[in-house]
Amino acid sequence: MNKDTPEGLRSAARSWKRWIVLASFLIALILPHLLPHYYIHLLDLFLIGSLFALSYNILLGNTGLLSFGHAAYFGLGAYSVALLMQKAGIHYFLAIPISLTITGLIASIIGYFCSRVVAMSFAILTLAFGELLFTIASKWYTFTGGDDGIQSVFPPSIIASSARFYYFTLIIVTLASIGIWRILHSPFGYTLQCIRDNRPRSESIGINVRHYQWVAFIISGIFAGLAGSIFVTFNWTVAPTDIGWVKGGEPIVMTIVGGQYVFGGPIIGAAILTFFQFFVGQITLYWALVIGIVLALVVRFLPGGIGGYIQERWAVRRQTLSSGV
Amino acid sequence: MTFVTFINQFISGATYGLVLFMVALGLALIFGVMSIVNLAHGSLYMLGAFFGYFIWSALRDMHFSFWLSVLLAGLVVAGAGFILEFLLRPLYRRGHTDQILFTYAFMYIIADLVKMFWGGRYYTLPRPPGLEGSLTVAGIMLPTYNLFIIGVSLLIGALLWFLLARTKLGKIIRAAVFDREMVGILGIRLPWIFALVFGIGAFVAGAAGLLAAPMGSIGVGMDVEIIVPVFVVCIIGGMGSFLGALISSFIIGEVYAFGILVLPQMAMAFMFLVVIVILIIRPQGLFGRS
Repeated sequence: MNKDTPEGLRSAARSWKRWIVLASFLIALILPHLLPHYYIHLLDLFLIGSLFALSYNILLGNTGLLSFGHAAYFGLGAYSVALLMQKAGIHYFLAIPISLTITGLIASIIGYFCSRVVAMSFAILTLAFGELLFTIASKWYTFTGGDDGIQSVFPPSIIASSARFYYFTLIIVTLASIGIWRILHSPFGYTLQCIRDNRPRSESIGINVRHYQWVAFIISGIFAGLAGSIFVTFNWTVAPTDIGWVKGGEPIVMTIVGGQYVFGGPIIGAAILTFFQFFVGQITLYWALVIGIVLALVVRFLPGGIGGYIQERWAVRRQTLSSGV
Repeated sequence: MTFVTFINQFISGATYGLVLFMVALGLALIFGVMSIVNLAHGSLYMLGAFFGYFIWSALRDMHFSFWLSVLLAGLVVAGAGFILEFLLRPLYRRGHTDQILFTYAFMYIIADLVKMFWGGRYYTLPRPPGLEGSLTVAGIMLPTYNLFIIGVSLLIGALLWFLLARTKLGKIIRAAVFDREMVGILGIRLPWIFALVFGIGAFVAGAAGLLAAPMGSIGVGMDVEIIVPVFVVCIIGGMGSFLGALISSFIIGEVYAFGILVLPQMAMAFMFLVVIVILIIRPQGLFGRS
């Protein structure tokens, strides 16, 4: 490969990225043998958070819609798996696809209404629907267990050990991420970005904006539900707080800090947030203060997030290289 | 439902709604003039309650200590508002999303600062002297303090309306809504106007925080508890509209109060149902321009 031409550099960068992805996957495969128990749990949490944030970014970074109620779908995935397993006695592996169907159906109903509005109203409407589900989950004691949530949702024995559960999570999250990547790099994904960048123009060239936003909403909800359905057997319990808007803040922080315009941004953000919650949480009680300051600084000084910053540096370097300096 | 319960629920709904209105006024003012979406407005309300409580406990032996505390709490929070406005300045030219996210970050920051200084405890304070009892009208007992809150809230709304519609300062502020550049060219210092508007909004929110405190309790979490319905009020009223905010806060208050009677646990759910229905029928809000 000729690295002196811009074309050669681009494909070099592409193959670099491929190597990084492959290398990090291989490292991820050996990690459980190197790390103590506790850190494997942290890795699970990071992986689940990554998927949650990636699903969120289908809406925020790619369609330009700020949702405050995304935890609703995470919670729906978690609750429906727990209920299917405990009330209907369905096996976990079968409960996942059923729960994703349920989540998708509810996301399509809510999304139908939410895709009719934009900007501020979208943020509040998603919040309203999210809090509606939160209220139902926390008050309907006979069905959802109310404030106590649902306990003892154990993973099946085949993935019960912490290393096995980690591999299970890794495989699901990797496959789902590839799926999201494919969707965002398809004509459908580019249409979403077109809507984000210029809504009136997208409408005038004949894109059915409302329809695309609706479909994006459903897809985003289903992937969030998948994250929730892994989370419930990771955590063994699900509580109304997994639906509420505080939980909904997590993917927002992850996506913004990591970078909403870069595919890997939400993953970087998930790593940072997981790190903060645990390590900063051990040093000080006030990790939310730290998160708040980090978020404010990123919004103010790094609108593209950390991922955007890295990509920018990369582009500058590539340009100086190709201009023959 | 008897007539008496009806009246009681009606008053309690109106009180809740008009507390929301006080906070929504600041939000509507800041949005209307500066086009800034301040998600940390509920945090200013919470700050007002906490500062007010501790000022009040220091002054409690004085005459009019409650009223002095309300005033001082408003002023302290106005100061906090100035700081927030100053930090927000570089984001004026960015979109609403960035402003929402930036002020969202301040919700985290203020909530944790409050927890750091005052802990996770709940504080309560009595109703101010003279307003503890109730008024009997046609055989129905009406709590005086609730009536007082309704009156104060309407008064603040009227004052702000008067300020905007009938004074020179209000004219300048309204002119700034239409054409910032032109107002600046005329020699008016826009940053001062913006700081002032933000300060007024913060003052009202801070004062409201303490005014509402005798009817409930002060504690961490009250920021989220107030900002969600207040935003709901602003959105369904039409962002930036005072009249819209008044009517929708009344609707939300009453829906909440009567919702409690029908299904106590689901009162919040009724509120969200109303929002969903209104936004689906009129996406721009009741009094908003599309």
